[in-house]
Amino acid sequence: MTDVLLDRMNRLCDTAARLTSDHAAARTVSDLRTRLHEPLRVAIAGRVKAGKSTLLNALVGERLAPTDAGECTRIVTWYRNSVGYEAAAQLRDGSERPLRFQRGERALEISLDGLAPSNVDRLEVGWPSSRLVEMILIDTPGLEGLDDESSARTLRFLGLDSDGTGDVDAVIYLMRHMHHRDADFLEAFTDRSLSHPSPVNAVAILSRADEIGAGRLDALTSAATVAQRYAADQRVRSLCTTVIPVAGLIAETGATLREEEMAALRVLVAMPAPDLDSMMLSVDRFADPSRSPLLPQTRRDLLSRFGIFGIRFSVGEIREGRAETAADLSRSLIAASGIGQLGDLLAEHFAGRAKALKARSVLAGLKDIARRLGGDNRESGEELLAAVEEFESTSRELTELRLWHLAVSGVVKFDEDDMEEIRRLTSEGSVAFRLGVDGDTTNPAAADVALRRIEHWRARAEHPLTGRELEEACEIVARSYESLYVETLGEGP
Amino acid sequence: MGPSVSATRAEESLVVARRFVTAGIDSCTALRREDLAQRLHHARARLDEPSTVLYVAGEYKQGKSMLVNAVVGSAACPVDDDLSTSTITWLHHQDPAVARIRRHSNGTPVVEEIPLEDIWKYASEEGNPANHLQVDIVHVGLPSQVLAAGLTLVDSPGAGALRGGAAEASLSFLPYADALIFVTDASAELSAPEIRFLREALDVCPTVLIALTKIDLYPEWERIAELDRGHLARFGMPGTILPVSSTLRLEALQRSDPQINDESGYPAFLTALRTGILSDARATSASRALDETSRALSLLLTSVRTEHQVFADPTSADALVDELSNTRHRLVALRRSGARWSTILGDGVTDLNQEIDRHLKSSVRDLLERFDNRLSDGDPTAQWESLTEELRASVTTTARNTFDQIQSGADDLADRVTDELRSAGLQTPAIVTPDGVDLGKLWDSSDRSLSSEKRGPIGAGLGALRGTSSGVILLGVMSNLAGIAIATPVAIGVGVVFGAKHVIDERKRLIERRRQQTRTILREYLNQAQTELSLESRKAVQEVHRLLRDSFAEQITELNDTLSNTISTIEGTLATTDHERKQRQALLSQQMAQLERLIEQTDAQGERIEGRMP
Repeated sequence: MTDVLLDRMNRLCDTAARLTSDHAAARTVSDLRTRLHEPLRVAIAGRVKAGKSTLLNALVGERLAPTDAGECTRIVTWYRNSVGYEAAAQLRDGSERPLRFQRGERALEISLDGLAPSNVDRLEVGWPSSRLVEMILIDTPGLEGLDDESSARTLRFLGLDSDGTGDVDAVIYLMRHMHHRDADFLEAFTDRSLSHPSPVNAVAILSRADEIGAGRLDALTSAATVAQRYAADQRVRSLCTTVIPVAGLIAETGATLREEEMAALRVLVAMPAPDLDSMMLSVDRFADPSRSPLLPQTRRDLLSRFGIFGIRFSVGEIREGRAETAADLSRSLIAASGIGQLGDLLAEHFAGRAKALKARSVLAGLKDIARRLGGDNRESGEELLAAVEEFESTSRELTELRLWHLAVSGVVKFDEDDMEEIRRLTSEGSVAFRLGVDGDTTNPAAADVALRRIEHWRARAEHPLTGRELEEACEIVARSYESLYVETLGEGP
Repeated sequence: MGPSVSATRAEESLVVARRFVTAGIDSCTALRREDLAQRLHHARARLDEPSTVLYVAGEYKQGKSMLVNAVVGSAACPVDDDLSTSTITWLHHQDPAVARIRRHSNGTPVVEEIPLEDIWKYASEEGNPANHLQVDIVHVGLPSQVLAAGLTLVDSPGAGALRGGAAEASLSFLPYADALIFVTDASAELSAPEIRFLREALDVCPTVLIALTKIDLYPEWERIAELDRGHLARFGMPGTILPVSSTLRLEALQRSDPQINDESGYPAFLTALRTGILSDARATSASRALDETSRALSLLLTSVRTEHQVFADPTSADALVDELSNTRHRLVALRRSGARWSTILGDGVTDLNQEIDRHLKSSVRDLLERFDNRLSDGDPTAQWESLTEELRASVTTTARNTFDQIQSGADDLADRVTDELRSAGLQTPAIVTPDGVDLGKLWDSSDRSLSSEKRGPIGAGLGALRGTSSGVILLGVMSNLAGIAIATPVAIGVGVVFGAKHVIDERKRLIERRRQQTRTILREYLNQAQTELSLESRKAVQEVHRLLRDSFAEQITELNDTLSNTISTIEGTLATTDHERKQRQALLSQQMAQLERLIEQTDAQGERIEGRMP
């Protein structure tokens, strides 16, 4: 099957290039075109200390991004898959400078070589990692830190300052608690960086889930309740696909657990239980030199790697015999952290819709260019705008994103079965999969199913009690089935 | 660590004040002025229980309620991993424990007693989501050693406490608080909004204790504390950072384990409270008690002097008795209900009410106009957040202005009545500002929410609307205003399935529809706010009226008693023998000298204590 969307996008970029040939915007057009062929750009954003770098490390499975209890990530850093290991600084003036780096114990140590951070637009890290194949992960400085410069930088980067469209296709937003600044942020992001406000490209994470409920052993259960409450909130649903709890630190440590850490934990578990329990009451007690045979430094390291919850959890796992080896504990930690659910979510919502999401960003960029074309180029601008809008209203992928938006944001209320059907229909799977039939399109039932679904959804759209938004959604579903029906005919035996 | 210099001094001040008040009581009793002695007895009782109000504020989910519970050593404030405090909870010492709520029922404020274990049903998001029960304040009296020192803790509602209307409410209350306890957890440095709030708070409440909470959970808490100290220094802000762990404190209390208690940081925290905050409050109440003593002694002196004058010049006695009797007659007339001053007061109150209503109406009209104008361009949903935030802040400012208006109106009325009494030939002393208001009595019953029992702890006078109680009412009203839900206009998406031209038309139509919807929502909100404010301000004005009336009436009675006392003494004097007279005169001279000396010393002590106060 040829990639219709990509072909059409390429043609649209050709048109844009022609219309801007003698204009400074030509370079932006070529950048946009490149973007179509690159992995999806996913930013990890959130307030200061929300655990962005920790989450990035957990997703990549290596300790790359520097994490620190103070505000530390001050420059936007892109992590992409590459053949070799490399780091470079993209400067404000558009030039690029390779940087020296070494792999430290806790993170990648990149030397800025005397470059002033204010001159650096972003850092680019190339790292051979299968986890970076489908997505470029982007670590951003925290919002609302006291360091106003880096906060402003993130907003500029995400396209939230007064002008400009975003550089990213999707965002993982980390929040520690939902207060309205977080909602503001999501709203602004979905509003301005995309052509239409939508939760389709944002997922929210209740981060540092292990700290909710004072690090008690039931912390993660508590966190799940909190996340559920947020996810059920209409306002949140109109901003992001869903909210899930993730204990980033637990995930990161699970993914990078070392044998000697397991050994240290075993020494602890060998202590008399009341002594160990009393020691785990607080971080100060845990690090108190008189309380355990382990070196204080070792214990401080354990604390920074596991957190008090992680230690309580791991001790529990070892005591109960659920974790005998480092590999066991690693699995337990990862399973408890919720990072797996995040992976599934990203696969379904981001990777599964990557082409459409990228197209969406590129279209927004082209529209922006069209609007800026003024003076002698005004006519070109209008022509480009018309081309983009025509594209938006006729592309199946984009109308399906619209459908997805209507459904997940709760503007249109579908029941679970409907949602499941829409999820399948709008995925990037094979025709048969999207129709929900076994085998491939040679299955004679496929065309039949398509026809019946078209009928079903048309009827729903035309029902006199159907509201305007629901009508629109049903129409989109029906039309998607129509195009599938056409494909079943074309690919028949 | 021993008690600090300021704490020792504060204790000293209390001892000194107690001595002088006792001397004052003795003098009053000796001169048979039981009424004045009684007043000083009350002043002495208050000295033993100086009232200090601490306001607890901080971002959402930083552990404010946990801190309050850890301080009082009880689970009075509902604590939940997820949900937060939805109304103001206010705790003070009371034995046996009692819990009350003040809430609105069909628009009328009522006070109800509730079982202690039901507090969460009213004070938390879980039991009372979005404060739908319309609770203004939850009041908890607990037998607690810490609170018994005269502490009142005010736990602010959590959600977004540092922003919008809620922040305004906090900042409005802070001038009435003796100190702010700012709560921030050890997971991260102070954020920009936290610093912003602290800077504004410091302008109105210079004493701040910063509690760095959850230190049992974050290994890096010492570094965070250091970073926070750096931020405070960088912005030139005072404020002591005290690391605490409420979890450890509650664990310690449960196990009665002093070591864990020490580790919780609370002993150090409480010491800081005592030395840094309570001592200031003690100095204040010592100085107020001395002031009151001095005033009572002056009244005594007046009557001794008059008598002495009669002895010095017996021929003047008749004229003096005549004059005093005349004054007494006027006083008796003034005590009748139709007296001119009480008419002035009544009319003044009616005017004040009308003025406030007019002002409220015009403020609300202006606000409506302003927001209508803002809506005339742009898509209202795009600026919804900032719009509602601004709206809440504006309404809160209006509320604050209204209360300022009531206070200045009350001052004005008091001046006018004083003038009237003066022109009637009566010198009334300046209106008495009573010291620390006993918040516990504030909401005892709904129809006397501010009332004092006769000469009760609130005392008579204007102060009841000026001091902490006014702040508490204002805070209640403001939180209530902040709690009025603003509906959200339904986000209406624009379909992409239409052609370009169609999209533009459709969008215009939708935006117009959203504007209309937004306008209606704003109107509804403002109307509700106006009703609420008008109701509360009427109640406050009514209270002002009653307080002024009682205060003046009491002063008239007091003066009347002094006069009768003097007249009968003079008449008695005239009937005595020469020898007795001589003896009496010598005694009076002696008393005069004693009183003069005592007044002088009392004033000197008062000035000394005041001079040391911040």
